Amino acid sequence: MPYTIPATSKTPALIIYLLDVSGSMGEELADGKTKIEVVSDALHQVAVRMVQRSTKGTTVAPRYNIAMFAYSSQVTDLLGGIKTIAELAQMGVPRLQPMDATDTAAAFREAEALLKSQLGNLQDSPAPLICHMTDGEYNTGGDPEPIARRIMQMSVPDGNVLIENIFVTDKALPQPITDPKSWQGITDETPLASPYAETLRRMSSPLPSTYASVMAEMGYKLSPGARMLFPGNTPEIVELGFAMSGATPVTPVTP
Amino acid sequence: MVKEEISAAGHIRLPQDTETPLATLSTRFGTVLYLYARSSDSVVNATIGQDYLTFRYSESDLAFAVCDGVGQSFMGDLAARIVGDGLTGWLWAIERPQSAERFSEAVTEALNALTGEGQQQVKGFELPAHLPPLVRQALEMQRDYGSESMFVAGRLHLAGPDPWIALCWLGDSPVAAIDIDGQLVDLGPKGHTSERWSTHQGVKGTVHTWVGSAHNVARVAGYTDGLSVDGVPTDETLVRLMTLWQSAPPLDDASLFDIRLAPSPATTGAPALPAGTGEGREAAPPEVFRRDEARPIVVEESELRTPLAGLEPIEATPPDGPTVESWRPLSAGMGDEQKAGTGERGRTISDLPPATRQQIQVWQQAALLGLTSAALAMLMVERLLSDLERDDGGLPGKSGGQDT
Repeated sequence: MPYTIPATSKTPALIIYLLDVSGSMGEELADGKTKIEVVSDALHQVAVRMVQRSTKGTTVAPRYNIAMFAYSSQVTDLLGGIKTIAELAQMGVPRLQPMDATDTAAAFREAEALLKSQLGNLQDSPAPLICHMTDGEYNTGGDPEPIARRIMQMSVPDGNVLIENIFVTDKALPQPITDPKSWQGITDETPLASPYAETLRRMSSPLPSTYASVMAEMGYKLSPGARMLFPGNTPEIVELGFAMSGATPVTPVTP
Repeated sequence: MVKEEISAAGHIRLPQDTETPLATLSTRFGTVLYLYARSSDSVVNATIGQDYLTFRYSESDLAFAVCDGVGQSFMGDLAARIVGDGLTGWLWAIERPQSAERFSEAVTEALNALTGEGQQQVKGFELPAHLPPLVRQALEMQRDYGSESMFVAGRLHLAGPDPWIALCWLGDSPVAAIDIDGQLVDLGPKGHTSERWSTHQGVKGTVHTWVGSAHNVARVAGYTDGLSVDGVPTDETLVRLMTLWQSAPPLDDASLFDIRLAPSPATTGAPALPAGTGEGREAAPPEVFRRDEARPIVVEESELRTPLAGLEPIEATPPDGPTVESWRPLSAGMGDEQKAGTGERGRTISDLPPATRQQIQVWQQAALLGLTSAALAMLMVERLLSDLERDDGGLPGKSGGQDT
């Protein structure tokens, strides 16, 4: 059964964040916060949640390894390499600043290179996960989809590399998600309102049932098999998307 | 006449900040084995383990608790201690439960009564000042959630004509009882990880219970899942784990409480056979047993009970002498005796049927490990051999026998 290896100190989960910090991320949302502030808050929350899931007493066990890239016209390694969740807890989550253009392909190429260098060390670990957050289509660097497809073909014994996309927009769905807690997710049949949302759906992995179970413990009702695509411009949807990135099981999964 | 030094009463609380290698303790009614090992994370970070193990015993009574603090709750070690101490104290005072159902209700009530103390301890717990803000924030959120622990606990009353055992568990920590024939006693359904005791919510889930006679029960074991074993660990498994953990601590905290009331084929497990020989090797005494703790199970004349009732009292090895001092090599001894008694060819252990040979090796290993007395082991071996002779045809070299 795929995606059942728990994230432990001996078999940590590798989570790679690709964060769009293009100029448009400085736009304000309905609650007065900018998109990038909402993302920074959600990123902080998922880090806290990962720490919670890694603690034994006051010790933070290195269950998660984290890489974090911000991209605009260039890709920036925010953490200076892969860090354990314990190291990230010491460092704190970096605050993001909006920059200029959107070179999504460059970010995925960075992730692909990192995975190629790490995959050999991850044979006993959970399948790696890429959490990509963007608010709009790339405007430089070309189409990221072929790179994403290559990445989704990479695998370890636990399963293929997972990609999830958080699409911070109110233009992806005909109707916005009103209740994220009861939302079941996007299937291949769900109507989407923008071509780039279609692209991101193709770049999104099916939700493993073990991840759906972990999300259910957090109060979400996502259906196994739904695409790991989270479109919306509310803090709740952004938070849901980032919560998913920390949903690798941490206890043995019984079929 | 028993010469072995035994402990008549005591109250053990294992420290959570250090390892307790597999240790044995001789009591009036059997041998207690226990261990405590912190996870590699706890060892590396020099923090305390989340498990907690405590037991209390007298000449005829015992109460124990093995608790598995939930790592992702607030200071799981804290809930483990509260449950362990509270439950052991409560169990110590109870009479035989009328039924498993009533016992479950009573345990639930007792556990829910501990929440007040639990909440106070959680509220008053001071986090270390040096924690990074992100960790502090995570722990403060956990504080709101409360501290949680799973557990396995039990009460044994082993005096009088109706000795009894009452076991209770919450969560997925394994618990097992094994009878004198080596069969697992059906204790009912396993627990689940979602079942915990919470300082803030009391019992979450159902307290599973079993109440029954102690007659024919040879062993009761409760342990946390950090042992990572399939099935009830044999002595061989325990020795292997202890040896392994000396160089590589377990992934998760691990603790075990194991009371041996009488010998059982499943107690020690089959000895390993060296490749290519087909013969059982003589088990070397494990280094993880401290010599002065490797005492045999003591059977006193006045307290003969359950599977050993009806047998003559046996003499244990002297306290100062090695546990296996009186052990005789089986192959040479049997051969000589048989020659003298029958005039037939000498018989060795390899001549015996495999099942008998294995049982003999089990007893031999038990004596070598100090888990039973050499005298008792010899007695049981002789019984096995006489049973074999009575059944006829089992001993090669005798008329009508078949070589194996």
